Amino acid sequence: MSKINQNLEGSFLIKLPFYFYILILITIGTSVLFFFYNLEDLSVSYDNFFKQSIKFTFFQAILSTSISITFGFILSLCLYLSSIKSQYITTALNFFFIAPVLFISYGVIFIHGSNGLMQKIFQSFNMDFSYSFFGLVGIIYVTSFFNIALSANYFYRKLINIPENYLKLLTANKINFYLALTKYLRPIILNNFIILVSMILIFCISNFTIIYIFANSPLLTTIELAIYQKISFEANILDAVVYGFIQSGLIIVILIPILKLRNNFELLTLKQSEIYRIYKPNLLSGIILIIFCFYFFTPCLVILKGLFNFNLDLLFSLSSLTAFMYSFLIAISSLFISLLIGLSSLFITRGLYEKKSQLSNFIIFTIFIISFIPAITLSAILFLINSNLNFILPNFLIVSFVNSFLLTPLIFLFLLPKFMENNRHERLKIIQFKISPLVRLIKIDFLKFKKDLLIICSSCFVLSMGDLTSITLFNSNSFKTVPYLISQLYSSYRYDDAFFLLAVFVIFIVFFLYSINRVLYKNVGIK
Amino acid sequence: MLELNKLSFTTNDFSAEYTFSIPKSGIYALVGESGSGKSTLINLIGGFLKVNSGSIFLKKKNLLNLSPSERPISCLFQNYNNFDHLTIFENIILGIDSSMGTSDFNKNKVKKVMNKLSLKMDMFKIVSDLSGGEQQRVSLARCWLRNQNLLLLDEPFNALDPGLRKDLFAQLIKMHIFNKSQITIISSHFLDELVDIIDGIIFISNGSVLKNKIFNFSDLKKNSEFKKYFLGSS
Amino acid sequence: MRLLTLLIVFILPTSVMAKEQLNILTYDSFTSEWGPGPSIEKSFEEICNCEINWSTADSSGALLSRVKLTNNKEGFDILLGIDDSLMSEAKDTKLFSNHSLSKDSLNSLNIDWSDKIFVPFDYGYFSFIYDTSKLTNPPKSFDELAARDDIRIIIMDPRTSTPGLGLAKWIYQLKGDNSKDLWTSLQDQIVITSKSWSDGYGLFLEGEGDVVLSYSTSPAYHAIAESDENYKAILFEEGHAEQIEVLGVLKNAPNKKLAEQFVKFAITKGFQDHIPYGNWMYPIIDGVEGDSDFYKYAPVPNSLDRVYGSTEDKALWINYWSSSIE
Repeated sequence: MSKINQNLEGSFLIKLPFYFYILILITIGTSVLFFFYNLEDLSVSYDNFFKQSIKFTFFQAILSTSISITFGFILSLCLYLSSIKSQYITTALNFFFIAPVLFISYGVIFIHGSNGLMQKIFQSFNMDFSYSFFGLVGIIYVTSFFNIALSANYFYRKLINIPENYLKLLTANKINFYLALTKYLRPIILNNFIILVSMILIFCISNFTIIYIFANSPLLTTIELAIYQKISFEANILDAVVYGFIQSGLIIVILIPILKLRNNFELLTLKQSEIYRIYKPNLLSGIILIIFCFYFFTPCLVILKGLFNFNLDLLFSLSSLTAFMYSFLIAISSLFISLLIGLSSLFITRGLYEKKSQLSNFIIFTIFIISFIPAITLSAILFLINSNLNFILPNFLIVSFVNSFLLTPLIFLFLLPKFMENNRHERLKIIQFKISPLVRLIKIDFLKFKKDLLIICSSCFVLSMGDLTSITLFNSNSFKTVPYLISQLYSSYRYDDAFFLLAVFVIFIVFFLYSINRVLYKNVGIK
Repeated sequence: MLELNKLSFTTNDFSAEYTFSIPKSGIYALVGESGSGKSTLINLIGGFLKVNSGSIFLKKKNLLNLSPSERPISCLFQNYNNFDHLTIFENIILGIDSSMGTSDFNKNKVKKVMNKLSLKMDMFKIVSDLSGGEQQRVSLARCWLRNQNLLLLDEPFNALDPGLRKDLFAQLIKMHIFNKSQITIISSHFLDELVDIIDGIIFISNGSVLKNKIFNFSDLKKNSEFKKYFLGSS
Repeated sequence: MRLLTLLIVFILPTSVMAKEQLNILTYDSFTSEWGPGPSIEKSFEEICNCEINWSTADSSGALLSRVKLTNNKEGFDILLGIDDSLMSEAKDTKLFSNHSLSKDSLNSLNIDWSDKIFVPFDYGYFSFIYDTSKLTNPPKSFDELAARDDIRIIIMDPRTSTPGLGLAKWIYQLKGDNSKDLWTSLQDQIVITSKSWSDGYGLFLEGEGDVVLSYSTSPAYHAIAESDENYKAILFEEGHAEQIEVLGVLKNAPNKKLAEQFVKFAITKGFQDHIPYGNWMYPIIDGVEGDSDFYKYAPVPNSLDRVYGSTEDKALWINYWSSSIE
């Protein structure tokens, strides 16, 4: 077969960010090795606490993943049966997934703490029913909050994308909902299910803030927290890096099945169809929905508490304004870096896939793996490298780079189906008309995925604004983000101020997401 | 036998009202431009869409009060007629026994109907292993087994080659011979292939039935709207 | 007149820019609005013609690590807020230089002090705090505390927090090689082991525990600043372990001279006046403002001997604690 004469103009430019990213990773890895080479003492302590942290990391990850997938699935079924518009459902679930961890954590404490709303209600009814949310219960409760939202969103989208004709077949032949799910629709619902499990496992394993807030004993420590302790309290980089490698290594072993991914990148759209509501809700699904509403909406009451403590002076104080500025800066630069790398890797993956190369799976795997490099370890390494370079790089850039490790895989996985859509037909036309890669990216691809791009970019923006992990190592009076400032106020018992700032922060996020939603759905008729 | 009277359906982008009656059993073609409302009509009769107003009577029975599974109707669509991961047996027996029990009674019934449709393979073969034509015959077998008063087909053989289509039309006729009281409504763009086997044509245009009646081919050819649809503008 | 204005316009900014900067690394509650930091900054800036830049770490335990990590490449002049149990580890880093205080000035302190590198700025005694309206008969000793299963205890992690480490030291001072037994019998009642003192104390105030590890001076804060006399310190007859907080000058401090001036300032009234009602600890000199009221609400308990733990001692104390956790 003769070689096809393709127009490759711009191809290298698009691939460059990904190659550059890999180069930076290799450089960081080499500097780490070099650093260790110069160390006199190469002994690493694997004390009982570290062994316990490995056990606990995986224990809470597996427990939370199982709970999240089970309850997420149940919730998705109840939502599917209800008559709530699909657009509202996915928007709400998306919001709960990307909500700032601090917001939900403090919200849960506000409701379920020993001095919380629930206890006050029990006391007013003279009920002596006290419970403590600090410990494993709190950790699982709050961790599952985000993951149930994610898995419910995933399953719900699967459910509303069941081919209409299947639903008609099932209903015409009197197949009840339970049988339909377990026997007939099972392959559709479970297709590529392993991606969901892997994503939730990633989030649980990298659990830091929730553990930091809710762990009530040194036995409830994850590897990330152990790494943080090694750096912050012992200045032991060697241990921290080795722990980081161990965490990444264990995860890679568990996730090798991803390499065996079947390459059917299914599109999950939000349809507005009359037919899909063939199965009707019942009392049980209604009760379950009410319970989940309680679970998801009660922590949001902390916003009301915050608004009652209106403090304009605090809002316009130097520390608040600085915090907001840095949060925005970090969010924008994290998004920019992740988008650049994400689009670049998507482009390379598609190119390899079109050439039927197995390397496409390898790129997917690589992108996935970088999300496992512990943020704390990476932050510490970069901080050290930066200090050796006399702080040539500003702190916010380092934090953004660290954030990109989590955001790039998200962008990549979310846009992958749309990117691959119709690629076979498109490729023939691309070759036939000698369309350059740059033109293809801007004039063809962008139009395909611009809606999805808007969704994932806004989500990533909010995620990096609300992130607390890597900032904990870099804080100083002049460099702090809004979540960090809120946590400082909270630790200083300035609860009113903390909640007020939290309320402002969350309201801003809601307003931001609402605006994005309006732009996305302005042309879709809502019946 | 089948009477539709001002059966109406509206959404934001589309509105339709259907009135026609089919007095006797037979095979009828449902034709019209894409987007004219053919699938909507089939979905309304099948009970898959909510009717705004109007009535449907099949053999003097009011269908509007009945859920899709209670209506004496079998349906076949363009795609997604079978569950690819299930066996031929399971896909066929689904039509009369939702528990898909493998009793001898069930197996015999399935074997009989498979023979009628010249499906000679093992009934426990997975459907995804079959060819396109064979898969559609499995769905037809299910409809045959159900043996209902009304058979609705929504462009079922579009993706098949002409030879296979001809075979399947022949199967339809066979089914009709076995169940003489059955009304079959088949929506298709290949009217010329159907002309010899149908008893009448329902022409849909802009969400309504042309002149609210069933036509034969020669009469319909004189209509200007139909000429435009069938022969083009030139 | 015009010339004068021009001169002022040009000289004033440069004179502002000419102000020396003193970079101090301390724990966050020291520099918070209600901590002693802002007042101390004001007092010192009046006499030094300089500006203090505060940088903070989450807890006292994190302070030393911060400078160790980068060999103080971040350019701090002073580390303020580690305690006596971390002193020997701090000296091992070789990052600190000797202070320039004379023997006489050290003798004027109300605690015995002879260290050549670090200078104390306040001290306190570890104690458990309780709410008298909720706990009416507090235990009088560690053994009694361990026997009272109804009492929920909040402590701090000895690896990450100096009060936590102080508790481990305290138990060792009392029990020696039998420390593990006491720790084991306390474990059932320890409901929260927090990372830092502020986290743990906050949880106590929110009702998550009945007693919290803190300082014997904590009740003074509630009584004086909040007019709430419900909080009291549990005083053990057997004695309480001491904590002395110190500051030190870093060897590669950018502004050594100013740093040494600050160290001298730390043991004068200008600094110490803000300690009782700012940091809620005992001042290291006598005659400080308002100290009579302070001592009324924060009486000095029976104290155990002062111990400067080496790195090995620290490991031993922590080991007794960690071996009692399953």
